[in-house]
Amino acid sequence: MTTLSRTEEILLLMVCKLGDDAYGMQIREEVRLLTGKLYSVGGIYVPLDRLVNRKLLSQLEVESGNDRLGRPRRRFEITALGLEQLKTIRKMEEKMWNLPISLLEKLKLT
Amino acid sequence: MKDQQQHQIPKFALWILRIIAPSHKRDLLEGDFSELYHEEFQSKGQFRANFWFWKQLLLSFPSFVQHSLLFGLVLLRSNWKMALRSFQRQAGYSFLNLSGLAIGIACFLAIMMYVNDERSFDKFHSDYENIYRVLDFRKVDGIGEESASAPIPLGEVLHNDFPEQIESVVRFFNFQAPTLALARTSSNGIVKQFNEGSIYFVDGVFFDTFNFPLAQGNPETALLAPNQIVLSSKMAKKYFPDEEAIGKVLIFEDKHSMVVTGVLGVVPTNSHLNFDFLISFSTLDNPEVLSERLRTHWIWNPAWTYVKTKPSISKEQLEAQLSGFVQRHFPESRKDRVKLYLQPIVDIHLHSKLDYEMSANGDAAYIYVFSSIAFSILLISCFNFINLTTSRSTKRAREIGMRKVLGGYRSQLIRQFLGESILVAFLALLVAVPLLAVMIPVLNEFSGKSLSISVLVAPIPLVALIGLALSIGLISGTYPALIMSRFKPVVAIRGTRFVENFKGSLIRKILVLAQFCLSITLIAGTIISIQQLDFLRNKKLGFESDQVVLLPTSRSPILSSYAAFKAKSLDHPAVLALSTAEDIPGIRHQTGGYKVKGASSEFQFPRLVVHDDFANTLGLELAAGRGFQSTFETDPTDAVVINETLLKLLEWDSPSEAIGKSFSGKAIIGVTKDFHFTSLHRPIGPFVLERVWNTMESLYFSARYIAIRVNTANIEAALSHIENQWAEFAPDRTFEYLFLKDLINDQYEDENTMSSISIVFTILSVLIACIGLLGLISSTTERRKKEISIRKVMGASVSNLLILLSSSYVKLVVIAVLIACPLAYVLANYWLEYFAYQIDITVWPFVTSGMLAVLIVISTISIQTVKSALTNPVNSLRNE
Repeated sequence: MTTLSRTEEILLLMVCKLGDDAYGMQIREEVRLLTGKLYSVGGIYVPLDRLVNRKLLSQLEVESGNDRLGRPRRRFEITALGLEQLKTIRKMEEKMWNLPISLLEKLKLT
Repeated sequence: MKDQQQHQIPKFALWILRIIAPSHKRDLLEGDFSELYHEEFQSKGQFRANFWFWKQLLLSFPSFVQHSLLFGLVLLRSNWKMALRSFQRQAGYSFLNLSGLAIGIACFLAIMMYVNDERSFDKFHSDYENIYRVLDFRKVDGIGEESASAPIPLGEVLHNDFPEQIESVVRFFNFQAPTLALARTSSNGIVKQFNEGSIYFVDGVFFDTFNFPLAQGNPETALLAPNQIVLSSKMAKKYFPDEEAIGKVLIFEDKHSMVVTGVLGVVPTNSHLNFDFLISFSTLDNPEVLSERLRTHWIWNPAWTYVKTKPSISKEQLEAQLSGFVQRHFPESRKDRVKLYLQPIVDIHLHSKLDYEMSANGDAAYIYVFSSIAFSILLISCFNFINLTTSRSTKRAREIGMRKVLGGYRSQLIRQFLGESILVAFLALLVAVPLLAVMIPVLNEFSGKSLSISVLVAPIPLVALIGLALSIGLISGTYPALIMSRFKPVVAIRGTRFVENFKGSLIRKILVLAQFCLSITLIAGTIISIQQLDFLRNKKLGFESDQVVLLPTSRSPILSSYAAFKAKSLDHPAVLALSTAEDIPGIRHQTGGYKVKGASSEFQFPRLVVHDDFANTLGLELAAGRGFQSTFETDPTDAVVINETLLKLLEWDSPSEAIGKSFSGKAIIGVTKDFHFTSLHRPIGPFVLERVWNTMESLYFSARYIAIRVNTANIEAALSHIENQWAEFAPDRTFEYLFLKDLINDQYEDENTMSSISIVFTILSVLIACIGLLGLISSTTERRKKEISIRKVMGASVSNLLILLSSSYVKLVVIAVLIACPLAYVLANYWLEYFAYQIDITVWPFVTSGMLAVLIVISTISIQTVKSALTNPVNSLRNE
């Protein structure tokens, strides 16, 4: 089974964090705050679409008001499969970092 | 509620967005963009918001097209087939299109490789960001020297004073001598003796500081102990052709044995440090090599000093402490004027034009000139592509109509045509690579570089190449794709008289106009640069460089018998006068501190220390008084000769008034007319000539060259006579001479390179524009075949038809001339300002380039028009 990439992990977590506000542009802003990387307006949908295709995210179109020329928004929501994948990767990371304190201190990783 | 209103994206921008966004995300993106645009507008204003929009659109573009490209080109195999078929059907036109683009890309790549190489100088050192050269500026009231080299002891003392900040210091020293003597006695007694031009004494930490590869020897110790020498691999072959060089001995200046402790590997060519021999700096501790007095001299500044700072130390931090350093160590008389600076090593090649540079540097201005030529050429070839494709679009009208009737979307058609142009761009790239392989050796020939096409075979250049082809395809394919996909199916299928719409031909005309504007600007610019170069070469310098031969004599034993050598040399009737000079007159000079009456501090003026008869030797004209002569015994200590500019600075009214007056403790014995003692990049400044003192040390120090004026009509005899004298007085040293004229012309090598490169690329750009025009005119004449035939039947003559067909293009070129001339004028003026002495720009370069352009256009057009005007009208009218 393939594990999530770091980008995918970040995107899924941001979608969870934003909840009802998980629209494309909001996700873009959250990613910027977290990682400092700013996707282009169009570019953010590329990885999101990929996640939708892999059924880790679901999307729905939401009507919107005048400020978007009446154009719909697209809201993303995490699917059960997505949550499961996040769980897997979390467990894996915890295992990964489960190193003796002395070693961590020696490597100055604490 | 006006102020509540949305700030909306301009209609045009939104339209572009709609076109390029993938259909399934179009609405969504429109929403996103307008929402963010609104926010941007409110916080930063309209201009910034618009800028933001276009930037974002550009950045999003790859994500928009990645699907379309993949599926449009790869999946729809029929598109491939169509593209190839239309290629075959219009073979001639496709060839023109492809070759224009290929030449354009090849030129672009060639220039960019050159530019890239220039910009890569000295970046191969792993710590290049921390390596600086110490500059030693000595100026009073803006006059003086800006030296790239510093006093010999400075480097060591600097390291001692700032051990926390400086990791290592490397000094380069060569006695400021153009050549030094090196010899080798092989086991069978044969002596090989050469004057070597690039010998440097360097500190032991050389290989720690710089990343020059050592093929043999230990980098830690190779230059540590006295009397050790490291050779380049070329020199190792020259002196030790059949044996290992390591451990062998070379003789420096007839008496000092140097042990070879290292041989350099392949030295990168993109370095401003060029050397063949490195000798350990500790060798100079021997007073026979360099006297104690000179070695610890704080006024003489002959050592190029490089410091490597600790990584945490910034340039500003260290520089700020240098004024304190000057106060601590420099002699009292220099404390007021010495300013030390740190120059990053990477700035030296392109941004440094100081006094006493190690070797001539490149120039950032030319990087801009070349880059703009490169982009102009690329633009011209893209315009070609657009023009040729749109003018040929009617040929494919039926295909487009058919596709539309069968249910093809416009977006599919756009994708198809974009795909085709990207395909052409990639094909052009493939053709461009062999063209480039031909161009690079030519470019190397002109520029003296050793570029190689093999650098393109690396991940980054390959990605860049693919990116280049993609963007060329997209940029030049977008407009034709939009036009062609717009055809109405009914009109297209019927295939009758596709009346070209006015807008289409207008845009095509504008593009042709732009092409010719660029070409004419390049032609005019090139002509002006040639004129300026000619002017530089032929300008009267105020002395006669043609007849002067220089013998490099730094540290040469010939100086010990200078008087006898002079007397014997002058025996020959073709040897007219002989003197010595401290540096090459007309190119370089030293400076000296002089007291001026009324001023509190000394001034730092350009100066040459010379021997008797210097004015005669160079053919300097004296405005008053006399030059140094052997009959006046007080000349060495009491006399100076100044130039007219200094005379004015000292506020004497006439030259004769100054004679006998005191200047800095000496008497003025002569005033020379102004002459160009440095290159024409700089205006003439104040200048002082002093006589060498009558001591051996002074002569050894100041007579770096013997200057001889010879009769050019009998130059062979004169030179062989001098050589004989040389062999008599300095039998151990190789005789070597330089023509002053050549040295002076070499100063403009940069300009020469630029001019030859721009000539080549200008010709190519005109060629590309002509290829485009040829294609364009052939499609017009073909479209108007019937019209021409009917006119012919009605009695029009060939010349009538010629005028009919070509007048519109000739008009275009005339307009292009009118636009390009002011543009070229402004640009040329900008370039000329770089020289203190310039030509006046006349109308001739513009008239010539305009005429040339018109001529080229007419002859290009005639090829096609004459052909169609001569064809038998029956042939084209027969079948309807």
